[in-house]
Amino acid sequence: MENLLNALPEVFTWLNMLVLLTASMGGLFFGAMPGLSPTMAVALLVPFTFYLPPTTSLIMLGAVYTSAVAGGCLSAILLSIPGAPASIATLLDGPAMAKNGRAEEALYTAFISSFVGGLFGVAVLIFFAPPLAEFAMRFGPSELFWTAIFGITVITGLSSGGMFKGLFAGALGMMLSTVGYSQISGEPRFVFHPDLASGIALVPALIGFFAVPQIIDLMRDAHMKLVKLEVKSQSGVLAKSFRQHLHMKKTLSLGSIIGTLIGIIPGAGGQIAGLMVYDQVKKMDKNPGRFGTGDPEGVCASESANNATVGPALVPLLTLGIPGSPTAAVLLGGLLIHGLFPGPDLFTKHADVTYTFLIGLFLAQFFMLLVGILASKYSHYVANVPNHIMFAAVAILCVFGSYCVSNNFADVLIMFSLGMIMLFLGKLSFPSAPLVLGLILGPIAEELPPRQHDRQYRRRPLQLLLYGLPEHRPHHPLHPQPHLGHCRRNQVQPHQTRRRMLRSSPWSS
Amino acid sequence: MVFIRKELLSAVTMTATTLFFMLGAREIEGEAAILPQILIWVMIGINVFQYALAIFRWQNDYDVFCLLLRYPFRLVGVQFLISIAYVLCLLPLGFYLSSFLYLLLGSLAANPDPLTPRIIAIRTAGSFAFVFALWALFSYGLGVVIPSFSLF
Repeated sequence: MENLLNALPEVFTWLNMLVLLTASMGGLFFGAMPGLSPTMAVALLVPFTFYLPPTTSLIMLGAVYTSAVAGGCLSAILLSIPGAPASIATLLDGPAMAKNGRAEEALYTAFISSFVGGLFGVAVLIFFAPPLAEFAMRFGPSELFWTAIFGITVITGLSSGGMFKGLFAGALGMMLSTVGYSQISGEPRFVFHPDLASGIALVPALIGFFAVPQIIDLMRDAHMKLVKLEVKSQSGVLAKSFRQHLHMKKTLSLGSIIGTLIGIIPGAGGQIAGLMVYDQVKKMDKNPGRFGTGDPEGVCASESANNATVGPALVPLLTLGIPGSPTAAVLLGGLLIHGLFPGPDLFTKHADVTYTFLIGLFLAQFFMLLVGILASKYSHYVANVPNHIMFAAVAILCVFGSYCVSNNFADVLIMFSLGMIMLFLGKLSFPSAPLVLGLILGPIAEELPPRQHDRQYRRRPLQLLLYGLPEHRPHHPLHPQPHLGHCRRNQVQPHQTRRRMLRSSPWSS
Repeated sequence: MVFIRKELLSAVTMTATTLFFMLGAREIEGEAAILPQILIWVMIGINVFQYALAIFRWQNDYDVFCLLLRYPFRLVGVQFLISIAYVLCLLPLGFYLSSFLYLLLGSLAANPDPLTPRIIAIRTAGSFAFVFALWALFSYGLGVVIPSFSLF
């Protein structure tokens, strides 16, 4: 609590408020546009964090995340297309309300419910993350590493493409992280082109994996003309929506609680929460027949649940380094860029940054509500940018975002190349989140702690089990064979230093 | 007509990827080779299971070519070629000029309605405004050194 109070003045700066407002607007726009996902929104904004203080950067990413999830309701209600996957359940009642001339009411209901669910989720994050982080303080570097590996397996197990594809994607991500000069011995690995000598930087990879396949999808739908329902603004609808929510306490509570619980589970997302809560509310209702015909309670159930997952998805990320969702995986990249390593240190050494971020995320819910209500009145502008303009605009943002990280054109080429690979893999249902996690975890796997804590490491049962795999190798990492040229190869090239900083190990310090 | 099942194609892709890295890993020695080699074994193991899955799901799996037949290749192809041209022009023309041309030409080429002078004028103005916003953000606001065409 003391840390929270100390962080309060840090949040209320003009810069943070401006960032909260613009990020909420941007997030809402990305969420509202079919084809632009919250993950992509966060990935595109990661390069900007280089130019902002760590606290402000994280607040920006958090605000975009929460608004993009909520913004998905705009296109779900007006276009019958979920702007974000989390809004799938909103399709059941939202468009029906819009067709009945109640589009404005449906939008207000969605944003108010998102606000309530989001507030609850962030409150859980604020109050549950520090004790969990305290528990995680008992973990040594190796436990944290294997926890993160466990995170990969959980996420891949629950990913839509199937377990084998998810696991393969995780392994492929780790393999991609080995491209370039080895951090241990300085040897070149998989350097097929000089531009790959310094490895694959995280930000171009994030943008490539998450944004490029969506650009191609936007190209595919470029000729599509969406039939959109106009919102007729009426007086008193907002007040009516607020009053209605007083009678939907049960649905709001159920949505917030179940959404929070699902959000904490790595791999489960807002879409599962939304559908599950909708189903439960429908089953528990005395008149279930009204659901699906344009009932505000259906919208309330879906939206309160999907936004309640946002905060809790960060609990395993901030405390154990396990991203609860693909967007959280991208956020992990944002944290690492600023040298903030998930785990107990976030709540002790970097408490000022972490608690300011948490309060910022709490405030982001208010900004989301405010911007959402305003956007509801002008939603015909918000969700109406055609795909034939959007694909080019997003591609340009990808190019600038990739380039500005280290002013290197090779990053742009790497971003596009990885994007094309991900497009192909995506068509075969390989998920992108494990790829990113593998890319982040690869350097950590190389710096496994046994060199320094050999005896202690061997005593732990879990590590002992996993240790057995490389034990039979002739050149075992615990007993490295000295070889000529080792020192020379270890010299870091000047152009590699920044990339190495980005790829430094969260648990090596 | 060749039929390729999705799960089988996934398994073949896994094999090709693993082989690609196996060939690359031959030149790596010592400590630097440990992680790649472990990963290659992991990938081989997963690949075996994927082949088993492909056989198990053979009846329920769908044909990739049937899906590709419905894909708007011409539409995507034209825009993809414009995108390639954009990337190739980035350094010679500068980021801002090539982005302006890409946004303008890309959006006009993909426009679902017949082009009129009004649409072209609006799109030109919109593209210019977008590129100006990029300049204001990156070059003026963030101070990033963006390669630019000398006349622009």
